[in-house]
Amino acid sequence: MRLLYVEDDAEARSYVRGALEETGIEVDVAGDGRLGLSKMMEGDYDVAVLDVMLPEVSGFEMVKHLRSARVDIPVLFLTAQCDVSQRIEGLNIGADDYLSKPFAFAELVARIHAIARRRIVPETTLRTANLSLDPERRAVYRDELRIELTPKEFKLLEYMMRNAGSTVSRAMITERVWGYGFESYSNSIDVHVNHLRRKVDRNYSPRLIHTVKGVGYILEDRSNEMLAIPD
Amino acid sequence: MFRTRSVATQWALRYAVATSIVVSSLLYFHYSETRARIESDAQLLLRLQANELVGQLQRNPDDPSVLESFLDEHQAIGYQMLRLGFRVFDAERRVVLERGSFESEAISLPREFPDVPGHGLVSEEYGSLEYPFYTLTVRAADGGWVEAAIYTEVFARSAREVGQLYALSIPFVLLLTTSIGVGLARISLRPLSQIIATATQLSATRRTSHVATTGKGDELDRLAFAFNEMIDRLHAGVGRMRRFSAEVAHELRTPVSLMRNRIESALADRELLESDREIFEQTLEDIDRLASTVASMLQLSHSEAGLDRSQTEEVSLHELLASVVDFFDVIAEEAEIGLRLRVSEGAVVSGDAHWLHQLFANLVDNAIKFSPAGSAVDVLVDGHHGPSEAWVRIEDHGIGVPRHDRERIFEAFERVASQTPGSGLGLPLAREIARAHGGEIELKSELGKGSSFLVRLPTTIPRENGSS
Repeated sequence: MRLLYVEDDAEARSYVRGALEETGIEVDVAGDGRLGLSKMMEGDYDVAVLDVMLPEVSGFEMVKHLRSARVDIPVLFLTAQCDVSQRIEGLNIGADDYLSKPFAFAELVARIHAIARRRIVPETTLRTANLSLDPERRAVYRDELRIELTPKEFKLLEYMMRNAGSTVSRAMITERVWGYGFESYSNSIDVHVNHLRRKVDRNYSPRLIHTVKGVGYILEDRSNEMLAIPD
Repeated sequence: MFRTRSVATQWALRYAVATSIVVSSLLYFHYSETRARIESDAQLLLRLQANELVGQLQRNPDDPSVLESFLDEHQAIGYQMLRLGFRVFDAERRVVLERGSFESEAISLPREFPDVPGHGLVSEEYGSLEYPFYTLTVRAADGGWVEAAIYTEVFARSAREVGQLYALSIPFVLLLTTSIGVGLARISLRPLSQIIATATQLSATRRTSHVATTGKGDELDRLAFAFNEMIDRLHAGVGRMRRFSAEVAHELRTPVSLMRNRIESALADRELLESDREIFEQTLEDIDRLASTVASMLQLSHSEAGLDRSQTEEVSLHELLASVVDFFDVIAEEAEIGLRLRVSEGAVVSGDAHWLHQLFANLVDNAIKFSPAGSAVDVLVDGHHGPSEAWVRIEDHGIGVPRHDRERIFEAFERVASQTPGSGLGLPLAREIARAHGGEIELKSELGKGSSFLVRLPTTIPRENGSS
């Protein structure tokens, strides 16, 4: 994955770049909006991470330019503001996600992966190992056995399955599944996930829902890795 | 009929009372004048008649028919309407002649005349009826007296009628002046109503709009002008506050973010000593707590600055609460607390959905925290408590809040029960959000029985087909 990171603070730029490269993302950087914009118009990036407050051209203005030039690159904003109205404004302009400073690297990585894959939205049945979810008929099967879920559990599972293989943070889950930021009460997400686990995962094999320490959860089939270890 | 809480009505009523006092005094004065004139007319008439009779008696001292012919003469010239009577005394106060033209009506002269000489009103009683006479005594030339009496029913009746007419007219005067007064007061107070409407809107939504000034320079115009200036100052203050908190956010969160980045990068070093790793991880937790406190403080100052007009939308209160309850449901379940939502009627409020969400999430979270296992937390939505107010009550059956803490728990960083986690900003933030929406949070609590937080919010859409 090729990513453009636009940030005016040199120190922050090097730390974030280092952290992203650690996870295997190829990172290109720019120190101001004008340079960032020209790089994006020319280069072929999969994702852009932009600071909102940039010299020359602000992050918001950059996205406005991009969208009017029909450049459809997924954009994630980073901002020192925590005001919800800014978040809404950013998303209205055409950004894909929004993250407040300070943030955890893992949270940033999870969100980058989520917006990079959001472009592909298959409406067909979602499938991970022997777990399948039919969004149209709102049905969930495990080993061909139908499992009854509450609407919220269904929404949560659908979100996790759409992001199968990528970590989703607790904050991402609250924003996407509940539509609100419940930053201060994120332990509720753990309880919700545990309920879901009890219904679709605990008594089945392989285990699909895994906890990612300090960040959130990941839904993936690790049975092959498990087998690979003894080799 | 009138709203007594309206200044226009109060003024009009005062004005009407004042007018009535003036009008009734004038009428009473007029009535007394009329009475006095009638009496003086009667007196003059009697004096003339009596003097004339005295003259005739003098001319014909021994003719007993003088009085009779005198009366007949008067009746002939049209005095029959006036019932006159005369009594003639000699010097020894013996009655010489007595005759009245009202005898046909079985009314005789009054038995007692006033002291001689003199005049005045005398009433004669016949059964239950009173017959008023006006009497006058004149000294005759031979040392005797002539007493003349006039039956004054006609005069008395006309005076009474005038009085009645005046008394009857007072309620009409009152009614007329009140209605005119209310109308006039309403017209002149119209700018004031506009100021009230703007002020109400301002405090409810913190939107800024101006009051129209008339340019007449009168008191109300000056008030409108001063009011507009106040709004402008307020608006500028709010703007400064918003900019300031944006600056603060940037100045605080940027270095904190850098600190976090640095420590996280340091943690990525696999060679790190376990003791150092622990220190770094603890620092990371502290940074996150610091960031969350800064975020809460900024949000608090944001809500104190009021709602941003561009952010308001129609928010369905019952749907919002259903979402909050849905979110906290599992947490309550884990704590063995029954979280129940009861909606007696839904409502729509105009506001910021995220803020309102935060408000109720804070209250529900608080209620669950202070509830013992096995108890229940009730969320009650009454969308139309009154014509334009929605009530949401969040009731727990926990330990309750002591009286002296009931205000304190809404103050920032005043944690009453220090063992519970949280930044101490949840309830202050909830109250500020309610106030930013023109509402309020009230706390009722009984020690050992639980607390009830009542959130009152103004609704925007009037009750549908509920006017019956």
